[in-house]
Amino acid sequence: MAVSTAGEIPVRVADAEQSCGSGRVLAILSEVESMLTRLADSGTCGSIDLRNLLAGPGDRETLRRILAEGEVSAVVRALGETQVHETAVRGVWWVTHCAEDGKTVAEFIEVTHVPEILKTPPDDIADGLEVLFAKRHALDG
Amino acid sequence: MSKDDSIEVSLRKQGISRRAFMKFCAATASLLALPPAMAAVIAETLGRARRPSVIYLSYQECTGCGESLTRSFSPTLENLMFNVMSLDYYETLQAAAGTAAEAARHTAMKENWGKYLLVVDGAIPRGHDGAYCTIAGESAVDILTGAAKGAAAVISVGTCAAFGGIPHASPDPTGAVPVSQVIKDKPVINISGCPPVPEVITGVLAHYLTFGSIPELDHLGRPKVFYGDTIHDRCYRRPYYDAGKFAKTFDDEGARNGWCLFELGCKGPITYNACATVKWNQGTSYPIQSGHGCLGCSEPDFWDKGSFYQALSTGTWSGGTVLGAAVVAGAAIGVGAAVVSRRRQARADRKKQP
Repeated sequence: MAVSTAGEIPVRVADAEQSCGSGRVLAILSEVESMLTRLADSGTCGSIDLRNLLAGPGDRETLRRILAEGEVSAVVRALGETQVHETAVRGVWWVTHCAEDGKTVAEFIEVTHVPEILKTPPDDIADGLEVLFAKRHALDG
Repeated sequence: MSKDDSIEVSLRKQGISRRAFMKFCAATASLLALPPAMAAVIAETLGRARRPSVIYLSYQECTGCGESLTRSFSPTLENLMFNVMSLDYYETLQAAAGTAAEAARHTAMKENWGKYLLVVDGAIPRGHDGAYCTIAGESAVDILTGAAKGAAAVISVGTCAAFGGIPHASPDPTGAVPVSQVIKDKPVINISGCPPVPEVITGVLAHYLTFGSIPELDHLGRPKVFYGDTIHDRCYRRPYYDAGKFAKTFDDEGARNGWCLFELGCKGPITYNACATVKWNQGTSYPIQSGHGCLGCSEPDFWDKGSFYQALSTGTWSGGTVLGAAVVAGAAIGVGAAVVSRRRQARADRKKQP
């Protein structure tokens, strides 16, 4: 077939809506179920690194569609945005770390009450105290 | 930023919060295929460490490896990686030139003797007593040998430094050799690829900074965490190989359906690298995902092993019919045969070794 323009290149985009993903999606869901059971029974948190697991086209979209959006969303702005969403499966969070240009650098499913990235570390609390002191000092003149 | 500051102190002086540092550590743990819980360990260890001195030497190379390194992660995280190291000598990036540049290298070596990381890209020309590459009157062989004496670890970045690469390809007019043929008294970490995946380069540096040791290496000196699987093992097109569905040309129905590129010359079954998992261009894709077979660029002598578009079943990659028979069987039978072919490839490689 002769192709003279880029638009004639016969590219077919996979339809993620119709896809059930690879077998990896089912394996991840099974692991999430085990972790959620442990969280419910003993309070033990768990985490799954998605980097090497969602390799196939459509895998990520399929997993997101199945877990769906829940009640809580948060954005952390530290070295780029980190998006934190509780999924429709309560206690299961989808955490996406992005760099400042928006590229994803790490992606996790966390099975926990609250993801660690949302908690303020003690060092940062100490910094906060210093900032507050400085602001009050400035107001006091 | 003082050289005596710990990494954590130096980052805090730059206004980077603990939370941001933890995010960096989570990304690093993910890159190194460590359990997510290891991010806290990395933060603890990396935070207390002093910034190590890095001396980066370039010889017979195209600067593609340096281009790759400077595009690792995204701008901010890349800067963070560079901030946890002290890059004391790198001809491509440094402002200094001539005697000032050489003085910087000598100073860094003297001040950090026994502790600095030596990174090398490019092959080393040994023909005519090293006359093909001299810097400030010293041959590449002599500079490398001298710098390696005081290094804590030597890292060969790119296939040229790791295996000789294109400069070593036939007819090899300069007598190009890999770093490991010049430095024989200490382990050399080979990060092969033409160029290597950028995150693999920084991942190895992060591993050294975190654990203070070199990662576990394969029989070719490559870190197993990144070179433990073949492209084929982790390829999303693998189910088509197993089902015997192959593209026959680059524009046929099979190619459009994303079938396996084995018959179009893909070297994925015998190429160990992280392209299929870490991917390229900030995780966008890798050659096979873009419709082209793997060239096998992270394997020794990939340039001299025949056409990139001949199937492995033609036997050109093992230099004989041993691999060819196995991979023909692999294409016919599907799963399992590629493993057999790799074992035979390994045996063939071992036979070749002196």
